[in-house]
Amino acid sequence: MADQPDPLRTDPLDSVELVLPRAGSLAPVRAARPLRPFSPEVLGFVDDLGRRLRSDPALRPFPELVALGFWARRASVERLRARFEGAWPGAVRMPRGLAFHVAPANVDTIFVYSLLLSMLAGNRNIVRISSRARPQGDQLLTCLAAAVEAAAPAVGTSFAIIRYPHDDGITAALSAAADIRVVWGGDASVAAIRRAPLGPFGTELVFPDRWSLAVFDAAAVAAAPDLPGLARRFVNDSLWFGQNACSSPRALVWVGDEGAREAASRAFWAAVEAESDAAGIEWADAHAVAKLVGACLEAIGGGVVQLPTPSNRITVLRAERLSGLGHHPPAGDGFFLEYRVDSLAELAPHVARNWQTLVAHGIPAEAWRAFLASHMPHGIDRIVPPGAALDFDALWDGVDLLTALTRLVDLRV
Amino acid sequence: MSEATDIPGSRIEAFLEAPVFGLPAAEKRALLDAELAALTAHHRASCPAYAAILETTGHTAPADSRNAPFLPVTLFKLHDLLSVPREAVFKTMTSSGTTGQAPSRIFLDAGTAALQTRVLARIMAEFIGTRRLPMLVIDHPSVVKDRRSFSARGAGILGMMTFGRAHRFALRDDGMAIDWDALEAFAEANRGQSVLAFGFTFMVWKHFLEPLAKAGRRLPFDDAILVHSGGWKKLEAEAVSNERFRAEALARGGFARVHNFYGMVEQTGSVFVECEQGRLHAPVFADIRVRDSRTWAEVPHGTPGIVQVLSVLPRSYPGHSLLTEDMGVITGEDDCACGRLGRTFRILGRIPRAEVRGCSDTFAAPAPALADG
Repeated sequence: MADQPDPLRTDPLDSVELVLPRAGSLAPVRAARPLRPFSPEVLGFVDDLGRRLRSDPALRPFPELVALGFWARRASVERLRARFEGAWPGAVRMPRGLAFHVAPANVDTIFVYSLLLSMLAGNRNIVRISSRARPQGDQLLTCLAAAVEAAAPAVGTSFAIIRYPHDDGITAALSAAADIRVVWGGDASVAAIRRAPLGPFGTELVFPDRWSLAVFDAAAVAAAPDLPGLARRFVNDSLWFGQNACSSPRALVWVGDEGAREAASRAFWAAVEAESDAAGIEWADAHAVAKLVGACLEAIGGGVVQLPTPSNRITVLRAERLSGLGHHPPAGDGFFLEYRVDSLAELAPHVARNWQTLVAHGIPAEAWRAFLASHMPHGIDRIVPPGAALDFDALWDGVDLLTALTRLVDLRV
Repeated sequence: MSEATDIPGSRIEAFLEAPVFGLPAAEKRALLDAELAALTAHHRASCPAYAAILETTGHTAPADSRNAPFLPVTLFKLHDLLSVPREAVFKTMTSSGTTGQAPSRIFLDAGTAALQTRVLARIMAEFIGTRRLPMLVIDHPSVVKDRRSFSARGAGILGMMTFGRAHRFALRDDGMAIDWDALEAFAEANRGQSVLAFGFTFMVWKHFLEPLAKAGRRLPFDDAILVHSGGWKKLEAEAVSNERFRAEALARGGFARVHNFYGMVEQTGSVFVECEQGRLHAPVFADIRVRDSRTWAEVPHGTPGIVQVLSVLPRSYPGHSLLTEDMGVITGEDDCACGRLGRTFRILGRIPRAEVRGCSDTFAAPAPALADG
């Protein structure tokens, strides 16, 4: 590759705005050597960043940043490492090289997980963030800047955060130079970035639009010893990001007969209503109107009945048939469609590729194993208990991210 | 008017015969409740989408004006809603809509359109009288040139133009600057007399009152009337209050009588006009409710909430009870110093947009794929 011109030296990149490192340039990142996976420098940086995110009082309003801080704890990173190193004990793990990350436009913090994983993998990283500023994005950048300043010099040259307006030339140059491209932001963003070709050895991780749901055993919910606790965990899964996180459930499928469903549904939604009120999630008038519009649109589509709820905190529509299962509902912020099946098998024909997280209660792992093995559904990447929908893991969207961010040298001599 | 009177139980003649601002609350309520219930039954029978909404959301009992099920106005941007066969549609009104949004599409049959015209005339007469005054349109002439495309703005101006005579347009087609020649001629012809002027609130301020002030000009009218509409949002951003607007209209144009009105393309005709006391008034044909977004319960007078508008005019589309995108507050009922009866209210602005957070950039605008649709 030495005789080829470095695509990063072409003009388009002169116009990018460097957000981090402050007052630096892209040159050191481009020139830096990759680090070993789980290098002490990066481990120290991740640990320090996590501590800052957990302890900074300015971050209290942004629980997703605090959650990121917990994920970055030394113990949890060590668990990742053990899993990573245990997979191919004979082979040697190497970073891929240069990673080009495209963060979602709303500076959601989720892209930081893939950035930190890529740093732990030893890659050099260039992260494009959007120009749309948001408070939690600023707080995050402030924490990152402070952690980089305190970190070993090798960390400072292992990533840069940039901003640039829509410019296909810059995206093309970064894509051509990247060994791996990581694209957040959904279908539209993936389609837009894919117009820029990768180099022959370039590979990519993409995060298109996803759809998530909950599947609860009706009898188990009706008999739940701690229904408020179950409801609280469901509220955390769904309402934290107004149901707009890709892993937030949009629909709830009851498994059970009509009688069991009726009892479970009545008790459960009442508990969800109460818990969402108690959770202190910000109320917006616009949400109530959007849910009313959503209910009207679903009504026009037909086959649904709205269940009575004491307030507009949540809107629940019961669908008479399964045929609509998986459609993107017209509203979020506490807008749920409810379905019923007699058995899990009934669900199988409806599973689509974009199904990501399935929040399950009252259905044991063996039942899910059997379901997956016998029906081989095209979608579903995660099956998690209530309360865990938003927990990011290095196994995400069906991909072991650390494995994807590294390559394996097959050493057999 | 046959379509308008064909609705079982409708007593629209009683509204047209009643004083526009003269019915005490209890009397108005009785008349309105019965008419709205008749309209709900009519639209339920004639508009399958409306019937499906009522069915789904559980409104099966006869509705009165207190619980007349309301549709969010946004729905007219997302779905064609008609209570007449398409062949009966006489014209389709569209709103300009917020940037990036589809416009509202409102389907009028001849009966509803005629009713709108009659009712608007009845209401405006209460504020500007029945004599047609020379009229200045504070807009540019081409806004009403194409009469087949009824944008809300063009239709609003055409509707208002019927209340004046000898019309002149105050602005130029190119760049919205004041057409000084036209304005001079109009001013000369009507020196010292009353005239009627109409324009959209922001245009009147930005392209008429402000340039007049900058040029140091004062128009020579006496006891002139300025009617304006369209919302304060843009002017609030410039910190222009209603009081300042009125003062400037008087100082620059001799407009001693300034009437803002609140109305929407989804309920053309039954407008809410601002009286001499600065309150917006519900005429006999319409009413206003203010609701709590948490439960949709009505809030007490004086408490802000989301504005619901009721109108007895919409017959060809189910628009007789609508939840607007505006926040407002009821300021009284049958107690305005101007002497007009009915509810009065103030509009506080648009419902604030909610912040959207999540993993994906594009979740805000997915085409709703409907269940079983």
